[in-house]
Amino acid sequence: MPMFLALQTDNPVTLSLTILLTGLVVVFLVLIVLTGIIKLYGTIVYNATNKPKAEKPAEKVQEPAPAPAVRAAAPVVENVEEGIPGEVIAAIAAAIYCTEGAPVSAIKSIRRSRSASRSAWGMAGVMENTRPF
Amino acid sequence: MEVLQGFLDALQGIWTSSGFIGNDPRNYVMILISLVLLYLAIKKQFEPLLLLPIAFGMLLVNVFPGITATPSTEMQLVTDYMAAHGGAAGSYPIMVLEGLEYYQIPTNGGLLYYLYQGVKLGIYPPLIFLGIGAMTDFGPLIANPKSFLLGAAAQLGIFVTFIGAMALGIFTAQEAGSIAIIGGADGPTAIYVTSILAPHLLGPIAVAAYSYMALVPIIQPPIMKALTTRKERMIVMEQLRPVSKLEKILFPIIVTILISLLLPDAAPLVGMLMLGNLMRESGVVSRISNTAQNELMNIITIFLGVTVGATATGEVFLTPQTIGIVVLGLIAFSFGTVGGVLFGKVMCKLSGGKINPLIGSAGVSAVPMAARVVQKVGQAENPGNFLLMHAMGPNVAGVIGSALAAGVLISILR
Repeated sequence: MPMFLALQTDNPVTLSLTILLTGLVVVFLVLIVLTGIIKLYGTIVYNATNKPKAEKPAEKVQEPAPAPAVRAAAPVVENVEEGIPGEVIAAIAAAIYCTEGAPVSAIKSIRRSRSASRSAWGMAGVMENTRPF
Repeated sequence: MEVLQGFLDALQGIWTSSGFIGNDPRNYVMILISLVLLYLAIKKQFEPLLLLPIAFGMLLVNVFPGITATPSTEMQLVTDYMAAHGGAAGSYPIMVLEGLEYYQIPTNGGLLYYLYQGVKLGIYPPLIFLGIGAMTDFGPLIANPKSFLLGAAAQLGIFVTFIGAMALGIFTAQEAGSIAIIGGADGPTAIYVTSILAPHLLGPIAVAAYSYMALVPIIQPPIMKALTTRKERMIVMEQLRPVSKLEKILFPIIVTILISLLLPDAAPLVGMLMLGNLMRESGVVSRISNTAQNELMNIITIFLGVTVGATATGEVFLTPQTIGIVVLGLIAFSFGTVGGVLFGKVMCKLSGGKINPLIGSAGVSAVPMAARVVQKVGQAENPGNFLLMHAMGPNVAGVIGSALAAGVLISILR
């Protein structure tokens, strides 16, 4: 209420600048406070939930046996087009494994498709963009 | 002969009460505009879930303005009433004027008058926010809380546009505030603020806000490219840390308490947004969470769209003010993007080049379209760069930021 009373002015310049200043300061201040609070509790919760787990893996370190199989499969992707990062290769390999299953033992090459029409990603974008909110 | 005369009288009565006689020529212009919007919604699929009901509401009200008529009281002489009802007395209140007794017979308002009460009383936008909250994952924001700052910086468009609207001199401060909020790139927030500050401008502002939201992929990229270097656009950001369930549950509670205490005018929007999110993240009320993001959201969308569209009568829409609103809306969107990207550049410098400034543009909200635009612009320079999740942080922060800006405008201008 005091903020409103203070703005009983006919001068549009004063009003505009007051709105600009008040708006930006209030929005920034509230969100800075929120940033601080979330960072603080995020650190506390993250540390609290990760501490007990940090001790456990020491006992189960020998568990992941299939690791050599993954290592053996990695060099098989011989022909990878330049610019495709490792994460993408991993994602493609995982997707192929999920759809094809065990029979696929190696991926020989990965290259970008050169389709002129709208890409699957583009189509997904159109679908998403046409959904409101 | 009497029958023929009766027939002709009846035809004449129908003709004189038809829209052809009663409607203003501006109604026909609006009918054409609504048909164009229907075409864009159906053929071009521009935000069809909203544009279609908005356009049809616009069509309905301009074909039959009475559909939004307010309830009124009709005065009828008691003697006339009794003569027309076989001598039976009515049970209406009686008023005496110049010695004559009149019945005060209430007449109902039009259908859309009643549905519009949800807009007028500020009920629909918070309910939409409930659904949005139930659909939104605030994980990327919690993982990188600095995103909040980008969500704040992108609100620059709102306040700059306020200055622009005031400078034009054709808008009052309340109208300027309602127009400025278009820069929040958030339909329900724009409708909420306008319904409180300048309800007569609801039609043009809603149409402008949703049109520009549909055009985000066209408006934003040139600004983003102009303000950043190729090197900056190519920055690959570090993977976000995983966020625990507890953090996600605490988030809506903390945000609600803090924002509602600091800025009570933002509480209806932020509170409902966070209630929806708590329902989602708690995992114990999946049934009502599903209802909030599906059935309830869809029902409110229909009511909101049709009634907001129905505010766009020829008389209200076809004015110089509408052109001003359309131009200022574009300025609001553009400056929001500028604010976000420039602040992104500042954060990029301060972080030693770890933050891609493009993600700042997602701070305008327009969830999730603005984040997708960031992904697309970033990937155009570096195909192996995946900025989507990094952009979702400022994107959802923008929703909270624009609700806050709405609270500021309402508290100052109401």
